[in-house]
Amino acid sequence: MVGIIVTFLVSALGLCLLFVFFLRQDGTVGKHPNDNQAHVPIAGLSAVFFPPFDIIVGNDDYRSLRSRPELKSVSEMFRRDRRRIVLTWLDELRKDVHILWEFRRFLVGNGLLVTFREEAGIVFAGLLALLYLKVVRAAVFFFGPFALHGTLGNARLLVEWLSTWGLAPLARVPAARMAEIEQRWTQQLLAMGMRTG
Amino acid sequence: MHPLLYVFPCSAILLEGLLLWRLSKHGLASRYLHLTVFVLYRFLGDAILFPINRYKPDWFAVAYWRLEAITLSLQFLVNWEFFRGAFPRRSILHDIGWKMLLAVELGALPAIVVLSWGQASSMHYLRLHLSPVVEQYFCLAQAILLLTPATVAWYYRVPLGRNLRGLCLGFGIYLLVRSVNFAGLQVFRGFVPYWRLRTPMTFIAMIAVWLWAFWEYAPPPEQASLVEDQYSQWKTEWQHLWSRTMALLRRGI
Repeated sequence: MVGIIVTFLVSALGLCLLFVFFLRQDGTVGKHPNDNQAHVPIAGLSAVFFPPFDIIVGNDDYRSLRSRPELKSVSEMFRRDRRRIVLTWLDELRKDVHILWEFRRFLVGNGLLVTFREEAGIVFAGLLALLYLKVVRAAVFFFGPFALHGTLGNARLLVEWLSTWGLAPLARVPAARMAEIEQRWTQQLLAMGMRTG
Repeated sequence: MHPLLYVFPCSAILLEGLLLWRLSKHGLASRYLHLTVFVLYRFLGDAILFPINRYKPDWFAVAYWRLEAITLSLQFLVNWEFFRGAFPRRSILHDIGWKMLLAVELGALPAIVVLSWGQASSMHYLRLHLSPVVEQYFCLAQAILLLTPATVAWYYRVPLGRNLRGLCLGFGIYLLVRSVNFAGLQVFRGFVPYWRLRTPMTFIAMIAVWLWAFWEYAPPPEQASLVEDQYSQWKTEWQHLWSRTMALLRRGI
């Protein structure tokens, strides 16, 4: 009976995958890429090196406000605003992971020399990072932005480490191909509807 | 057999014949040799069942299931056709695809063997020729073999072209639905009449999808460039050989 249930499940999953593959359009480069775009960062890391980390998650201001009872409503508003900022920052981190992952796939698809073990590691690390960011987002939403200072720091470190590791093989790209790869990556980002420059 | 049921084998033979005709155009048969062998075998196998049914009806069941058993093995040719079409030359993607395939099969095949080992078939009349459990798990294993390189190609955004996309879609749906059919046959007692219709209908649908996919030559860009390279290399070699032969002839004269 277990075998039959497994057969049904694998078949349902397989049919969904087949339709996803079939609906995907061949080729990812847009038909009319804008060649006049400004120079593009090789992978769009935006949030890791965003404003100083302690300014976003530090709670000194909040504690000062809370210590004064007449400013309680202000401190609550401050807390809500800070939570919104931290959630936005975490969302940007998630987008960074996606772009890094996409860039890695793009590099390998363009013939970058990597090993199977490296690729499996990147996929695993990417999935782990996305899961971690989801959990941290939920935690910030429920417990507030100041309760998870260390966890937020770990999220940033994780994405930094992933970006360093993921982009390391870029050093193996011959200098002659670098310009071509940058151009194609710009086209792919545009095709994906992402902001460049 | 009810006259209406002849619709299925007749449609299958007609579509297989059409597909073979399309494969014979533009050198598709040589470019997709494994697929052509499979379709040709099915065409001949289905054709031979008509005289057997007419003149030796006692042999029909045995002949049908023996041909099915051979078909099960030949389906691996289609798997291989898809893999070599998606990753035509030795590259990093080819290596990743190959290792992924090995990794998945090393995990999936033992699991499939263990599952099938403990599953007893309740369908005795089929079991005389070919166990539905074997059909179910063979098709499942082949579907996994097909989906693994397709997933790698999707992950790295490898363009497949109309030919391979149709091949993958038609064959994948056929294998998965067939596997579900044979699994359902063992669970739902009243499923047999539907199973008799659904199994050939799935096959006919696969051939119809393939016919659409192979109506024209639309390979993946990488394979097309590889074929172009090969042709230009053969052309250069031929021209070189021709000029040498002519030079020798002139010298002789």
